[in-house]
Amino acid sequence: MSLLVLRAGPAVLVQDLGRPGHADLGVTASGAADRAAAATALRAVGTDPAAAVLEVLLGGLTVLTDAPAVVAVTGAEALVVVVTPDGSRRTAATGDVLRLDTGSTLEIGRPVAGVRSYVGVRGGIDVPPVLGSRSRDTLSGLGPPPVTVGDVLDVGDAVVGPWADGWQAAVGGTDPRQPVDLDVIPGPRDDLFPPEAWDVLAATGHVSGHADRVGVRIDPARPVPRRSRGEIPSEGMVRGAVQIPADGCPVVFGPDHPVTGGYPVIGVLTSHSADRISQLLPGTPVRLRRVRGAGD
Amino acid sequence: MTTTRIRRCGEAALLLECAGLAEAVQLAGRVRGLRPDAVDVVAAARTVLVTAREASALPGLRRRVEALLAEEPPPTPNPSPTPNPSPTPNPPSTPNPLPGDRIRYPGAGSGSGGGVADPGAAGWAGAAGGAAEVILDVRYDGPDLSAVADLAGLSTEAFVRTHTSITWRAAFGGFAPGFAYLVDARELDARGRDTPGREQREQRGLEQRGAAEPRPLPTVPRLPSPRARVPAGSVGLADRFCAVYPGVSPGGWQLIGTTDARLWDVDRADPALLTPGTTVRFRDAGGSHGSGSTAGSGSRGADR
Repeated sequence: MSLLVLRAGPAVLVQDLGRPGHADLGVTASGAADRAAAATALRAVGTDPAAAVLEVLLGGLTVLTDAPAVVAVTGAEALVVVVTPDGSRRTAATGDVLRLDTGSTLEIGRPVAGVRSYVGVRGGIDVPPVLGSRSRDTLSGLGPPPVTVGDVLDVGDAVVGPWADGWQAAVGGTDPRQPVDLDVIPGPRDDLFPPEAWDVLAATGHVSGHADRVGVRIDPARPVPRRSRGEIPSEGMVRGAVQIPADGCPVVFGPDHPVTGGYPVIGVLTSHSADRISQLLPGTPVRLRRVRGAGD
Repeated sequence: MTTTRIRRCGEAALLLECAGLAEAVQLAGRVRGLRPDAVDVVAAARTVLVTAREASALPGLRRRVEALLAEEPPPTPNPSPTPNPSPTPNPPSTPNPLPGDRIRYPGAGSGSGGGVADPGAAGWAGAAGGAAEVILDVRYDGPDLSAVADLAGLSTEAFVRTHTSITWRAAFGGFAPGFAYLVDARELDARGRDTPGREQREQRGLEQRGAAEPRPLPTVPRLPSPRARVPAGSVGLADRFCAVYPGVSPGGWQLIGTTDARLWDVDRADPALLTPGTTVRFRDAGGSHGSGSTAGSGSRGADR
């Protein structure tokens, strides 16, 4: 079976768990920006967690199915509409597991909370993998090109169990006026910062307009102080790394981050918080909160 | 013991801080022996980043890294045919967490020198001098060639001779798929544990120059402002590194020439032509005097 793309919104990407293991060739892991939401969508439709989903930025996706399908939309909270071939229209919510008849369309509206919706289709989106992954890496251009109107997306057979009929995957709605707390495990270069750097990070800053899958820049309450200015020799980076450039405005690396970077990393977001930041609109108030990592 | 210090890098990674490049490159080779527990191993100028499959696997990986660091590292210099510095056995039946195939190691299956049957256990073939060698045909026609030659105190002809006579080695990757940071192999073959300062290195290079030893190139600053578009195949210099841009991208390196070799091709079994440990030699394709190019694709193998 396959899905025909009738409308594609600002950015629709195929994503899976990414392609870790190739960083020494300059290839970053990539993969879904909100890992937990992508995994939930696949689990809800009884599909291998390593299969691919559609990552939909700010809604606007409409697809038509040429066979019966089971889908779930997770992540950002958005109105989901199913239109059957006879024209009847029913609305659903983020997290609902939906059965689509042949010839039905699935529409994902603009989110009211969060920015990235994940469409899990029973069997998984089946595009040719590159280096073992179906993820689009927006920095290097690896993986399938962004989804556009007219694309036909094949659906695979990566089924591992029953789908969750009548199930509703919980989605965490948040009050957009309240600052979002993001947990940061100190290191590897926290010793290049004075203790008050953590006070600055804990004060309310805001997600800037420079926010994409490569990284999210934070406008801090005031510039984060460093013990010394300048760069350090480039070193390996991970998703969630909080880099502090010379201007003192933190940059949090996303899934398509460069393999190495030359600004000191004061700490690294937990996986949960790395998922969380990928759902924040520019302007959202945030606090970066120092936590201890397990095993410290 | 090495001088390495282990630094925490989030829930699932460690950053190993080394005394210098040679130690980092050598250690990265040994840490690669911890695959598949070590999912990604990223060597850089003086660090090695190693990532675990997930947070719950980090304590186990950390113990294995600590055990590795407690061992006496193998001698760095040249062709000792003992490519396995890691006696730690692979854990039984750890499932490979990655979909798809793993990239082959340099030298694996090449039939030359240090060809290794089991990359997981063999560590880093390049550290033992058995990695593949790649010859790159270069037209020395880069816009920064004369400026860089001036910096080296050489005519462009002498600079090209020097650049082609140096044995380069891919120390690590980064920046873009297939982009390999090449260093003068002598820098890695110098003992990793007493990494000399740059001045000492250059001094030593000068002392060695008497014989047939090619003179080392000076360190080269990046451009004050990066170019918006560097063509694919451009050969550039920055700091003490040389690299070839695999694709079109912005870039701040000083460009000395161009090669037609395909540095990155996802349709190849080994997408990256240059992987950590690969030995690289540049060959003058004659373009510096305005003559035509050669077909000049990179030739792989120990065919020097």
